[in-house]
Amino acid sequence: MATSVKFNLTLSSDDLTTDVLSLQVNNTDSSATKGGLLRRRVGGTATGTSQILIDEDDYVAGARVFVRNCETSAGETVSISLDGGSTEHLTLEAGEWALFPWTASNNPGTPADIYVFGKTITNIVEYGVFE
Amino acid sequence: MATLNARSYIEAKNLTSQVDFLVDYTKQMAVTQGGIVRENITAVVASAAQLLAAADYAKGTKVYLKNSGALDLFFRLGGSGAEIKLLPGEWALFPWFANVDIKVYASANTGCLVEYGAFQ
Repeated sequence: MATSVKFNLTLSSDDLTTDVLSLQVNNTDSSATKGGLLRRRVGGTATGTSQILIDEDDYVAGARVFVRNCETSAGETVSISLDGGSTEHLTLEAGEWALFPWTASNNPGTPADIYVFGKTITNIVEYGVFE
Repeated sequence: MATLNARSYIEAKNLTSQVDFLVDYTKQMAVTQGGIVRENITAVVASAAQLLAAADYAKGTKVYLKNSGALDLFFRLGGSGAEIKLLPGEWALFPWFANVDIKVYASANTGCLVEYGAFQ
């Protein structure tokens, strides 16, 4: 049977702008062979102690990355670095997620592993890569 | 104060041994700024254009990006590291730390529409 992975996003707001915001975008990947979801502890609490979450060598450009902070208490953030752990780029509050297609090892010589750290070392991150 | 509602779901059929695999998350967020706009991008890798200036936004700003053109689009957070690559029609959503600018370039200089929004 054919594989089909659908990525869907809806953004809406009745009161942000004069016009009602109502946006729905969908992507379907009909050639995906890898993917799934995992949960793990973040294992570090700052850029200097961040842990590798996704290795660039395991994927090709265009792989879709999903990351979610599984914590429920405000302030228990999970942070993502796209440059090998040097810089914090994404900050996910409790319950927040990110989904983005990633260049992986597209630029040889540039650190592109995805690193993770949390407010607390035991914070749980859920993640998956689809390609 | 306004409310932004976000919902993402991923449905994967026949990818793993599970019959269907579904993630479905929703979140309501209080926001005061945001909206969706489109711009034409002619910048290429050597001269990436600034899309969102970190100085204009706060930590946790939700960024929506979509490639509404026919070329590949690349989004760079900071000076080096991995980039977000959107093929035509693809989208991304992420909470941005907003310490470095988000720059964009296309795979050619013939023009490519980017649709984006930043909500905080």
